[in-house]
Amino acid sequence: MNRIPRRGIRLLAVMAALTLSASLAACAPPDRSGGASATPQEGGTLRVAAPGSANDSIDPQINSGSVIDLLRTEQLFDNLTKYDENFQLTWQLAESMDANATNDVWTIHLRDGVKFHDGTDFGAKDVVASIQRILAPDSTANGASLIRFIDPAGVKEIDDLTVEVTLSQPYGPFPEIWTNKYLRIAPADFDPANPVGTGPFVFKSFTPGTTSVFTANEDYWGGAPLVDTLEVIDFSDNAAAINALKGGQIDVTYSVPLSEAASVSSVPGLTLLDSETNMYIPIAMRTDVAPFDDPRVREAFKLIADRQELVDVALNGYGAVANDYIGRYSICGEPDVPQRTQDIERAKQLLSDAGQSNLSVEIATTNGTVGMVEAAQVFAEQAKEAGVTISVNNMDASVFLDNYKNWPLSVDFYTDSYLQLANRTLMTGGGSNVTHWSNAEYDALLSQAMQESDPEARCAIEKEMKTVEYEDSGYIVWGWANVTNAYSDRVHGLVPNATGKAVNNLTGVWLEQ
Amino acid sequence: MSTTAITPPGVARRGSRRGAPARRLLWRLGGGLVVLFAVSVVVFAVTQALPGDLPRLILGTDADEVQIEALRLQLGLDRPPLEQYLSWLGGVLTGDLGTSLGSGRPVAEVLGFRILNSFTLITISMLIAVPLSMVLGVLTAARRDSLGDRALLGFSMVTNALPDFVLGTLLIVLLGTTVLPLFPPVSLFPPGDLPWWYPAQLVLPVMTLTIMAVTYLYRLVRSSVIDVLDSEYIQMARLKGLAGPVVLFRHALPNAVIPAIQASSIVFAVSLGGLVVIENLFAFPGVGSALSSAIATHDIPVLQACVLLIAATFFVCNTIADLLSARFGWGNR
Repeated sequence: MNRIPRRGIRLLAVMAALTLSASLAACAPPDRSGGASATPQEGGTLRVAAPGSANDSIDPQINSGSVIDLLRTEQLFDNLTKYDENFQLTWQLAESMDANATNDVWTIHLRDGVKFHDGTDFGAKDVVASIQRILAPDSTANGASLIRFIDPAGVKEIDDLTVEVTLSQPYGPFPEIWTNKYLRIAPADFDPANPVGTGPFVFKSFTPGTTSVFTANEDYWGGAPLVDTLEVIDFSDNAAAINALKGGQIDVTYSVPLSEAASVSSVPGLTLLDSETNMYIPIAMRTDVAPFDDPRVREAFKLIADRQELVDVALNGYGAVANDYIGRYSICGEPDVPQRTQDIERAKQLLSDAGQSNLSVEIATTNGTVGMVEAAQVFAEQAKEAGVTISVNNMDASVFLDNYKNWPLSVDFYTDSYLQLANRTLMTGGGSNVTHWSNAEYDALLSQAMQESDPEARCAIEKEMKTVEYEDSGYIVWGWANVTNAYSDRVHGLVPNATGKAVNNLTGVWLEQ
Repeated sequence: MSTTAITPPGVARRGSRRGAPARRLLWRLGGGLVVLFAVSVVVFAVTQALPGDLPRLILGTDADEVQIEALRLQLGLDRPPLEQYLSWLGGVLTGDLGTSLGSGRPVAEVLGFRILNSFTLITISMLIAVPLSMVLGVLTAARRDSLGDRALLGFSMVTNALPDFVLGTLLIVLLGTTVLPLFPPVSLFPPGDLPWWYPAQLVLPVMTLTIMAVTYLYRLVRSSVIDVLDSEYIQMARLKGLAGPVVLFRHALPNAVIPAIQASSIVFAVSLGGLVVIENLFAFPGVGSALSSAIATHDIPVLQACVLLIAATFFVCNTIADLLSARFGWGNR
């Protein structure tokens, strides 16, 4: 897997061809259709490309969470709740949810008048069936690990539009969990071969690894899409997708690596869609093994990071500096802690106090998402200044995953709201807690926050949690990564989205005919 | 693959007894099956040795141990490796290639249209490349060391030394996106549609494969024509006063064609392997892209089917080349 030399050669090839063409292309006038009509036009076929493979799934609950699986399932299905483009919670198939005093019995009130694509009514039985399908004992649905606090037997249909859910433990941010990509709602009699949902588009065809065709759901409860037909097209190679966009074979592509964002935005006829998101690519230190079991070593590593340089180089400037706690866009505001900056002298002192001067470690990384490999490389360079030798082990995803959660030092990436991620990545024993961090104070605060139903009181706790996290956790949260997509100038109505899923929101998108 | 090595033309010419070619073919077929079996064992052994846990690869990092184990049971991966292999082999012998572990669909369904697409691509390339190589080879041999010959030779050596994707990328930039956007830069056939319904989308991948093949094949033709042209019977034909083109195409070419046929068959088979790169570059829905994704996710049934397909193509191509060589050799005597 030495991709970099290959990319280098490809770059050379492109540059050679560009040089050849310089005299021809330089003469061409730039074609910026700035004054496009602002009146939306209906109809047409929107062609959207995203990275996919022959392993694609169109099941709304049982899929690997790949970009293209989520893109497809979000068109055919809905969630109970959803984050909008500003990361604010909105109601979808649910109209409201309320809890008992202890946050462990929740009542979901469903939207009235919603119909499935086959004309049948959506109702409580479908929500009950979806939850039970996800939690079935032999289920491979990834959503199961998110809602294990639900007792499957305690999910009850009260009436056609009301569901009561009994939890095995209090869960304050219950409405938020239903925004999750793995927790979409399917009909009670769901058949994966004929994926009928409530979403803005209706299934027409699907072949893993190639093109899927959907048509507009004219009766969509949230307003019918403006385009008639949607084609979702798999690409295994980002460069091929960008070429297809340049050649007019597709209208939108999800995959614009941050390293190519600047060059794509300079192509006449193309527009870069640059979304600031709450995705972060932390450097994760295992807090239960040496040397990172010593908090001084962890703090030293956090002080080694030159965050601005990491954003500028690993993210090509498409991002923002972060401060070792997560939960960007939280309604709660920021905790009162200073921005951590690089301090090599202090880092050296801490390492020396811990008896770890001249430390030598390996960092595990993979080409999982943009910047994962680059972040490891940049951080390794920065560590040299503090006398720490970090060797970057960039491996195939299969090798990386084989030892997932066991690497002493690794790079990972996450995106979600604060309490969801706190449960998964920071709580003792959390499913994605690759740092194995276990902090009694943090766990107690989290448990308190989960039981608290007053948002203001919960926010106060959340700020305390972030302070503990800032001081002690095993994650170096150095920055927030943007997500960049690109589209042709004939496409209108795409807006940047803080969830990073700008390309999934297609009902308001229209094509210049 | 030693049993499918090319038989030198001289050996084929000895088959003067009736029935011998049929028996030879039967032997070859048997040998071919043994090779395919051996290939399937090797592929299976390699997939077992590869790092990476299949359920984890399919479900990703969001899955917890409960789901991982549930999927392992569903896929039958909890069984001993030998049992897994034998059950796969049993299926193949009864015509069932199994189910893709990644998508849960039958392998035949996953690969069927892709095989058609890939073979269309290679066949069209070869239909252009082989005659073109013959003509170019003969013409450059006849004008050996001329400016045109040297230029083409230099160009072909450079082109052949380039990795496929560099040539493909160059063509995309030159003819697809930037310089002179004449052709679609990628190939997007909706599944179920036949590739030749979209001729414009085939141009660039076909061109890439054709250029790779011609730059190699034409040099073979050229050098064997040069050898033939230096031989005594051509000298004699010339002395008798036969016209240049007649000497070239009636006398020299047929004798120079055998090595080219054999090379063509190898190029055909090698192209199938090279498709992994070409198909990713052009987003071409074929066997190559299925193979690379099957490797990435350890989708053993799909991987097996792809590798066996490539091995079988090698075998068939070699056999055809041998039969053709024998045929040409016979006709020439």
